[in-house]
Amino acid sequence: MAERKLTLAERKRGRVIKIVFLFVLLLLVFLLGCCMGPYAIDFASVIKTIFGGGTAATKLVIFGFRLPRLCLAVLVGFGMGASGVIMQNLLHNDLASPGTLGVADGSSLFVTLYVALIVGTVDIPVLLPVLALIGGLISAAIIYLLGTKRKKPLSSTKLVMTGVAMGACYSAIGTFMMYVLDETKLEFIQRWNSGELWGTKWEYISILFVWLSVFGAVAMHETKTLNAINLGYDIATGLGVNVKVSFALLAFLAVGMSSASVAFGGNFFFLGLIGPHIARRIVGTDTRYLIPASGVASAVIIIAANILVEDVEIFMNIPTGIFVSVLSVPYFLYLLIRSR
Amino acid sequence: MNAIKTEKLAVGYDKTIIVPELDVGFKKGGITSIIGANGCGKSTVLKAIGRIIPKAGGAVIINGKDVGDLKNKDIAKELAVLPQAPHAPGTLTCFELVSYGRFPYQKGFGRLTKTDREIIEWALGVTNMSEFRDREIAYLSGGQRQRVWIAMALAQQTGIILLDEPTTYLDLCHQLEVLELLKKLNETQGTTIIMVLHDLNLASRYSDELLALKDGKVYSFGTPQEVFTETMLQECFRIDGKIVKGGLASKPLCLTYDLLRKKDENVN
Repeated sequence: MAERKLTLAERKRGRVIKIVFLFVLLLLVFLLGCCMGPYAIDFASVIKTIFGGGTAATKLVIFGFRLPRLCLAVLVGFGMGASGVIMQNLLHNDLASPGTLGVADGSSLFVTLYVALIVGTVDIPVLLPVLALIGGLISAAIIYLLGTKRKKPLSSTKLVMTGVAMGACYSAIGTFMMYVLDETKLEFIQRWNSGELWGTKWEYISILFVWLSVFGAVAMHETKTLNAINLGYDIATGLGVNVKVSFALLAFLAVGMSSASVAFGGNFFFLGLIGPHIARRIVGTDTRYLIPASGVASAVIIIAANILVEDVEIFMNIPTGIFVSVLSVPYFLYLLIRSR
Repeated sequence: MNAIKTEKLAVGYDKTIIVPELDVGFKKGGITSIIGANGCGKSTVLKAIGRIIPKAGGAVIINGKDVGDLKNKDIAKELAVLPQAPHAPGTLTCFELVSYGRFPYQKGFGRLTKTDREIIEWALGVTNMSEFRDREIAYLSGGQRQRVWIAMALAQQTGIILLDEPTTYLDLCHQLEVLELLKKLNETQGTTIIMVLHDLNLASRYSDELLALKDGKVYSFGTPQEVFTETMLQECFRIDGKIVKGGLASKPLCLTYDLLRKKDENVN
């Protein structure tokens, strides 16, 4: 209740400060991530190594193993967090996310099909990101085509229902495909599906970085449209938004960001659900603040999960994605209980 | 001169045509209420004019220009639409919500210019919402909430505002407040107001013209004195109403009414 006494300028400053705070938090967990692992490095040496000093051993560990993994984690977090915000706002549904709308299952099915039918071995997974992306876009397009009618205004309920139904269909086919896979392929697919940061080569990371930067910049440019759509399709139309066109563009951006993140990082779809929720509690509904905040929050979660996987012996070899879910579910349930 | 004119406008859902062919003109600077029984197509007509639902045929002409030839943003500069019972995220402040009314004028990343801010403050002022400018929507009363939505429509700076049942869910006092506000806007800014109203007495009192629809067709269109008659009540609403002349603003008023069918049964 105290909130409403604040003036607009104060609220704005408040939100900027909160986002800066989130970034600082991200930096801290990032550095913590550099320190921790099977070969522990103290904080001072980490800083020294990053700025060019350090021993050969610390250089190898940090530049060779930890930085790529952490950078990938940050990117995946940003991609999933931003994508979740867009999907939730587009569909006016807090449960919307690449995972719940069938887009994830579509990506995953394509990857499975590819691994099962085309490649002989899984040594060259270079095409995987592209496949996950194509799969995500195709499945999203099918959901959009089935869930909308040309002569009718958009209905978010219809789209969500279509997404859920198609998701079930995709994942059923995917599960069936598991039976025809040999053991090596099966293990890869299983690990990929449960979320493992595998694409830790600098080439992959730079591709993902450029990809997310481009998509993210366009998304930030469209935030004012996204804000208008958040008021309802009718209101947005009245304000001059071409809802169907903007919806398709924003959905494309969301699917593009989530599929690319997932392709390189593995299945982290739960982040797309939890990241936006946490961020919304911190900065509110304005997507100009919500998208970056959700990205940072998701990145923090994924790094925290990764630290646990890397550093706590009993958790070792468990895919990070599973940890993200384990970390987020209690918080998510807490949000649900409190919202009543 | 007409602010809005429909030519052979046809609207429907799927294969059901609700409005087959509508030719009406709404006078510039007037207040017009569309009345009719449930399912007669009054909201449908309003939404089709406001391009919220696609039309099945015909044309809508706004200030002499065919809507089909205009960009959506340009239409939003001529015509503001307020749907029935709109819902906003509760954490938005009044100022923020009203600022969305500037959308059709914004470019790029949507930073508010000085002019934008002045217009938003003006819209809050006209609707008596200035003191609530930093309050979150969730903490507003129903009447205040409707006023802030109207302020958003005003920030669009359009000559025409369409409203779908702007008094829904409001108590008697707040219904009057909203309608008085619309009347004030009409008188001071010359805003053309076209709305769907359920309450016939309020429609009669506040409107220059009434458009009575029956089965998607114009039943009658004219001043409240011409349209608001006992015959219209019987044929459009199937009620037996008692109309008296000289209500407030010397408009006709329906004093009491009964179901038409009941009367038939008594006769039998």
